[in-house]
Amino acid sequence: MMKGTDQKIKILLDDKACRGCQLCVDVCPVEVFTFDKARNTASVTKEDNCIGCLSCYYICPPTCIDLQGVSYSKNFYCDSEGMKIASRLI
Amino acid sequence: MADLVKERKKLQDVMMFMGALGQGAEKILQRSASVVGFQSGKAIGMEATKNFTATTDDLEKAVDLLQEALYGIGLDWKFGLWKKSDEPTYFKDEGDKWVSYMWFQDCLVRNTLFTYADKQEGALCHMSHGFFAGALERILGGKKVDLEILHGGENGCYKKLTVFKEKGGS
Repeated sequence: MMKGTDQKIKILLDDKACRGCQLCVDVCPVEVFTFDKARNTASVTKEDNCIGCLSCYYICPPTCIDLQGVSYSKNFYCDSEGMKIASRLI
Repeated sequence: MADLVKERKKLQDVMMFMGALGQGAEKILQRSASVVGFQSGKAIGMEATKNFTATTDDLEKAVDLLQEALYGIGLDWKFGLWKKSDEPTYFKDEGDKWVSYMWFQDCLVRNTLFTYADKQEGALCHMSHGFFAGALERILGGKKVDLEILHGGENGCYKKLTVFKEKGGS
């Protein structure tokens, strides 16, 4: 449970698309997912724990995880001029 | 609008410079770079909130006050305490310290540098932890605060907050 925010995060997992790789189970720091051995798919068991880090969303190979109600980080500063500076410094 | 773009560009340039410094420090100092980042961030955190005089011993209230203090100096950094839904309280008493977990979103380091592949959980992240810890220490009247990163995600981070019962300074 996240204190200090009104984000109501809803996790949508397409279990028909899930390949059972368990990457989401491993990457989630707050144990939102468990692996259902009988069905060979991941399932969302503790949605309330979610902090909206989106690691599951990005790691899922068949992209079968989607999240609703998450406040997305603002990449305000991504501009072409910045990229030129980046290529010089990093 | 033009002023805003100019200000963002200035900030981006500063953060690029900071990112380069952080990466250089990691190459030379290796793991010590995190400690250097944390301690320097702590000094900045204490200095930045020096005009915020409210203090409290209530840990949950202290985190709320910290958000207020940072907002007062123009920092809209979204964070809060976290617990499992079946746990009764946010803080656990572990003898000489209280421990809680926190979520962080819209972090300055991620928002400015993540798209340029600056590695998360590096010296610059530890500097922001130190900033948080220093500012919270001031609000808690000098109780030592530590913030440990447990997970650096693409859109948010999960961290462990430790508040020591004894006053310790840095």
